[in-house]
Amino acid sequence: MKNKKLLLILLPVLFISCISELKEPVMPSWDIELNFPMAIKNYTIEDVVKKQDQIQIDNTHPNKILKFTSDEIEKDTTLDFLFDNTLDMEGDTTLPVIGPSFGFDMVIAEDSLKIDSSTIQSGIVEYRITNNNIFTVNITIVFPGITRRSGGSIDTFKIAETVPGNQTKSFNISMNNYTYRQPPNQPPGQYGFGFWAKVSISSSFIGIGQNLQLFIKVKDLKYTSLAGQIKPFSLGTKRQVVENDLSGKLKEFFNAVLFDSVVVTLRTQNSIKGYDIGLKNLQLVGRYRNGNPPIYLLINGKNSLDTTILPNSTTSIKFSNQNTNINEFIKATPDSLELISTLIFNPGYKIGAMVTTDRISFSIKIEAYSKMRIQNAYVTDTLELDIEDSTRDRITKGNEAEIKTEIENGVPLTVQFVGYFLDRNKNKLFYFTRQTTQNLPGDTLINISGANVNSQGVVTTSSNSVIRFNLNKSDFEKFKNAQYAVVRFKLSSTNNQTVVLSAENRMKFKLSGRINYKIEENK
Amino acid sequence: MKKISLFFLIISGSLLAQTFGSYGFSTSKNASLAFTYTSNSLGTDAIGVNPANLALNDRTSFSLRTIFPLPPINFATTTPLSVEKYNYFFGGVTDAQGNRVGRYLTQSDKDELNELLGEYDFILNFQLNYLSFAINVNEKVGGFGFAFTDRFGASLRLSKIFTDLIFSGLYPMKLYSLSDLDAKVTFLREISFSYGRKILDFDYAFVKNIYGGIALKFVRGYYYLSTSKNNSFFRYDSDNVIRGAWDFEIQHALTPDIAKNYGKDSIISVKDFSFTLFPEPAGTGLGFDIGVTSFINDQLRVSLAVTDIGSITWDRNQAIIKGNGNFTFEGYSSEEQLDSLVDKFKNVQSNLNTSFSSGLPTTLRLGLSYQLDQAPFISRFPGKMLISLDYNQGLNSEIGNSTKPRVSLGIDWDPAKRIPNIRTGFSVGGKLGFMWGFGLGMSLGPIEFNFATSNFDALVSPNTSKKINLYVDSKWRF
Repeated sequence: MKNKKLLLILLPVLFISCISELKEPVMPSWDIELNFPMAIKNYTIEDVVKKQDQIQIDNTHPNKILKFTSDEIEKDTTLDFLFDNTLDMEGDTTLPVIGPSFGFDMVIAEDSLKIDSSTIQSGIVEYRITNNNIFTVNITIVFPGITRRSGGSIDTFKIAETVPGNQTKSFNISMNNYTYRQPPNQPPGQYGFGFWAKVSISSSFIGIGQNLQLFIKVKDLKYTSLAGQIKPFSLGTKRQVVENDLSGKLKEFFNAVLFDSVVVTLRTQNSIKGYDIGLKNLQLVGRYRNGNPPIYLLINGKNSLDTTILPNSTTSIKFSNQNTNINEFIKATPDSLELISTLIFNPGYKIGAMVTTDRISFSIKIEAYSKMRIQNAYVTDTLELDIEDSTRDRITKGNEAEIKTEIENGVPLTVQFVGYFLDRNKNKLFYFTRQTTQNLPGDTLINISGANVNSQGVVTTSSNSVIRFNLNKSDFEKFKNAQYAVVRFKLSSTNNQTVVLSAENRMKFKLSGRINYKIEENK
Repeated sequence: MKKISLFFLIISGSLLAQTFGSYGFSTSKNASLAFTYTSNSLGTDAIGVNPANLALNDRTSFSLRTIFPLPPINFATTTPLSVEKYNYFFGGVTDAQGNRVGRYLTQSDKDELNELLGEYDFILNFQLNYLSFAINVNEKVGGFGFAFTDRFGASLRLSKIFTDLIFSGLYPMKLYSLSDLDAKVTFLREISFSYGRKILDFDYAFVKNIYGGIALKFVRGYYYLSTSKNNSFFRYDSDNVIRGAWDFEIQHALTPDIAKNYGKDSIISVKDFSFTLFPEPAGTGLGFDIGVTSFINDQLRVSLAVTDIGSITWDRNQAIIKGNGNFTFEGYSSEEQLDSLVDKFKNVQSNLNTSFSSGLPTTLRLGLSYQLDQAPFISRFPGKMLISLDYNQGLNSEIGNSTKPRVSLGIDWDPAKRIPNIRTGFSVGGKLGFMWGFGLGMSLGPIEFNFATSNFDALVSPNTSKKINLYVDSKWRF
């Protein structure tokens, strides 16, 4: 009986002891394979060019072609000469003092400057009177054409001085805010154009005395408006430099493009009434940072152009690839463009009128239309990969992957591209544009056929391509160190012929993938 | 120290169990016989199994089940993984540096784990039998049975899609169907009246007699949730587009004494809720059991029964929630595309006006028993031994039932007085697969005590067993 009880106790103990202990759970790892659609995307050329300032869509063209446009190289100049000493003038005279009082007229003038009217923003009348007599002389100079409104009355600009015997007096008087209009009674003939000064002299002396010297200069004149006849003079050589938008990152692309239609537009503007502006030795020069010789835009075979900007007008002169070397110029892809010209004011010595807000400008713009032939145009881009370490760790758990890309290409460009990753020291890691996993030396390129075109280069049907990108375990491990992705495209127009690249051309990408991935607990 | 980690646990429990469905609720004795009960259940054990057996002699004319003196305990756990498999898959391995790391699963490992987890059902059955008794008046009048039972059952089967995706991934042209996703939850109250008596006697025929029985069941439904339809699927087609459709219907009802049902939108608890033992039902129904038992000779008897014929109509506080539509997924290209895809899944309607019905777990039971100790070819046998064979075929998939047929064999050996009955049995098929039952039964005066497990293999080989359970109950006899 005792043994039976013992057995009853022992049996459960023995049973429990036979049960294995449950271990602390540890997540196993395994590989799974996922096949999944990734994305389907439609891109029109219009979608792409919307992001590019230099490319517009010509909606007037039946094919809605693209227009590659350089920034307008524009030089805008104001009439600086109205503010410098270009229009200063002076007059002097020496005469004996006769009797107790006498008067005379004089004109303070500048050669070839015939001012009908002007508004003087500021200026100075500098005068010097030397009295060589032993007696005192009183002198009054009135400028009938120079007036200023003061309250309800009009003040005429005048000078009144008393000069003791054998003394010289010098003075500067401001001419601010006076206006000038040549009086209708201004003595004509020998006096011509200029500021008319009526001089009156008085003294206590009777008879003919010693002489009196009078020098008057009108200087530092700043006009807000001026009308009259101004002699031709050079406004100097003006230049404007801009970066070449049809170069830069797309240098290699434009280097391989031959445009069927390019327009170079010279646009001029002159707001001055009556005066022509001459553009002399106008040049568009392409320059290189590396010191290579510059390239000149040749217009009708010459590297410079002379033309005249007519008064109060805006004009456009268009040149094409027929009468310029613009295609060669674009293909040369200079780093910067410089527009140079010397400006000649009023080369016809005409009568006119101007105000300080008048402008003279001239510009050149290049517009290339997307009917073109492209032969092996390269576009290269380097992208910095901003990927967190945890994400990199997850990616390295991939064993093998294939990304299938089905492309319906409605763009008349054949594309060949290569892509690879670089580490932080710019060492090449691996090509991701690889269609096998064997790392074969030639297996680095992806080819996409261009859309089919008719004889005019217009797309008739899309072409279809299927590309399979393959990555293996080693690629995933290398990817952990990838810092940059380099992609390089080689573009050629379909059949190497001139094609019409339309905003309506589209590419459809359908991406699907297969990845073999190791599932394991994140450490 | 032992660490018990219940991984993907199935728990089923019952108090004062009464057999219900083809595999679900049962008694300790039935568990020990691997649920072989159609022809050998007598007295209260015959209620819900075969009412004809109420007319058979059960040693005493009256039997009753209560919570006294021994509260019946039924604890069962089933895991998709045995201890051995758990340790293999999730116990880790030691790497070359001596660290414990996760095991790398080979293809065959993945297939095995996918199979184990993917075909796993979460089942929770809980039964409260307030009172059941059986009385056998005499052979002429027959036997009567009564039972008053609450049953709560839940069955959840996640689609194998999920484990397929986790362990195998997503493959082109493979149909990923969610039709195997099934969720059911019920809370029913049943009052049954059973009656069985001898129908015919045959003096010279192939059979000696025929007993017949019938039971009438009044059912009140307090809760019902069922995925009545799920034809949803998706497939990654050869043109690299995932296409699919969702088409599901959920039936849901609950007693209005607890909450107001607004279908897909919400369920809002009623104000001033107060507990009552007799809440207003959301559905009511009527059910029948019918059965016959025939003695071929003194040793062999054959039984046939169909139980739980009937249905419940859910017509109060009920909702039918439907969703359907098609979708295609070509890849994630933009937030708008993804939002559009998500919006398609929002096409769900609720019908709060139409009633629906659910079936009772109708089961066809066929059994035979042979009293081996009385066999003419045996001259001397130690005690008594009844060998039984059962075929149980569920006719629907309601809680506790399975349309997978189940065949079982049970042996009940009464070696001698003062020695407990020794019972064992085997069952194959059905919802739970192979079972090896074992148990003991002993009588102490008017009380019969039963101890059992329906998975004796868990005792013999605990590390490889996925089911561990223990049944204890008692039965009064007068």
